[in-house]
Amino acid sequence: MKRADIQFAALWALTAALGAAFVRAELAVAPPPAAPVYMPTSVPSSVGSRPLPKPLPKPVPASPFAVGGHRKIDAPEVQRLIQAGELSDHEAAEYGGAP
Amino acid sequence: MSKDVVCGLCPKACRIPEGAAGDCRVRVNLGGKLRATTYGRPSAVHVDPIEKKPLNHFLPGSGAYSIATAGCNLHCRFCQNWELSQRSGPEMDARFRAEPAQVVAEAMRTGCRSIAYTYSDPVVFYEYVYDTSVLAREKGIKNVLVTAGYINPGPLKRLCEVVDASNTDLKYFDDGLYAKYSDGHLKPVLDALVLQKKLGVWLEVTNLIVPTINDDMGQIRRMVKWLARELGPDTPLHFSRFFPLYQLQNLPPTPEATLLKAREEALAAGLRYVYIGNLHGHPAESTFCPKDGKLLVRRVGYTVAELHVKDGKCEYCGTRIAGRWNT
Repeated sequence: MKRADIQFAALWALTAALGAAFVRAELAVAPPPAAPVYMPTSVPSSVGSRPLPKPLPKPVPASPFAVGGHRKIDAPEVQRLIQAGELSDHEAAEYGGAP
Repeated sequence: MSKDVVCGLCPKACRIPEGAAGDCRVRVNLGGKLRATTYGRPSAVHVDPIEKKPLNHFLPGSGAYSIATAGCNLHCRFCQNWELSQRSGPEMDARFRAEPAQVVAEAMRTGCRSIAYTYSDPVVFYEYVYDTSVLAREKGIKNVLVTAGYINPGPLKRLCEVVDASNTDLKYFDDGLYAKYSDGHLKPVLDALVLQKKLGVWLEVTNLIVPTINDDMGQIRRMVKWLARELGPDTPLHFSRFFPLYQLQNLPPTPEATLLKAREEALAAGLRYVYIGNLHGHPAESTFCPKDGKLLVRRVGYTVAELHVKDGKCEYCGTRIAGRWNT
């Protein structure tokens, strides 16, 4: 056997031994499999591409439970539906509209 | 000059810029004025048995003309009516046109003794509910709210003047869970329960038990003790079975054993009428006399099979049974 072959074989054996030791060490400290966690699923496909509700802005002092938030709408579409009679422009009671 | 409006209907107090909606998706700022876009535009109309609301001590066996519009001011991850409640008006496939007078006329034509504002949450179609209720009262039709009770005291007080009965959800007895899973808070709901009771609305309470989320018996024990203390032992309580819908489709339906354990806790806390819902055919759908234990109202699903309450009393021992039985 040539000297180079002996060196290669020794190197290979050393690498294999180190690799095996590393795997054993990893297995020894590896955490147990995680318990199943209930996570919300995605919105059913029938909803289309509408995203999940986003967190609303921080509370404002108007109420201890106020979010002060709002949602964007397609205002021209709402106006069109109102014109078509499919939605209403009924003015909200005195509980809405405070500037 | 800002054309924002602040909606004062519910505790969220949404500040809404022009051309936007509140968190409920249906109360919209158009031209600096808040508009109730679903007024007179229900997206669901059905004739239901009153037991479906559920109301077990209010005109048993009668029909409830049931209407709902799009939108809701809470966003429960397990919503059982999410196709309605988590959409805006334009997103709905069906938008019927039914002004308050038409709703009342249809309720009368179909022989219903009440109109139920239900499925989504009547809070967000408040003006429609109020106007319809006023007309219904004039015609001798009762008004029923099925609500999460997330409303400010002022508007609720006004609504209670024309409402006869309410089934209000108490979803959790924990503020953190209200915030995490429903985008709401506990205290406004407790206040709404107490206010309705105080103002003489016939009140029943529903708690949907969702596995792993609000099925902790310690929390349920605290809740039923509060109900017995603050609303009284005659307030019917419905523990309702969850089915996997909307964003919690990975959870299992509520096990029967959990519902029965919760019912035991409620009875031990002193509540006299505790029901299990969405478990059709179970004996806990029925009403028993709190004194002699006899079967008073046998229900199978939403059907009343036997009724032994006469003039508001147990037919066998004469004990008064809380409710509005013949009004």
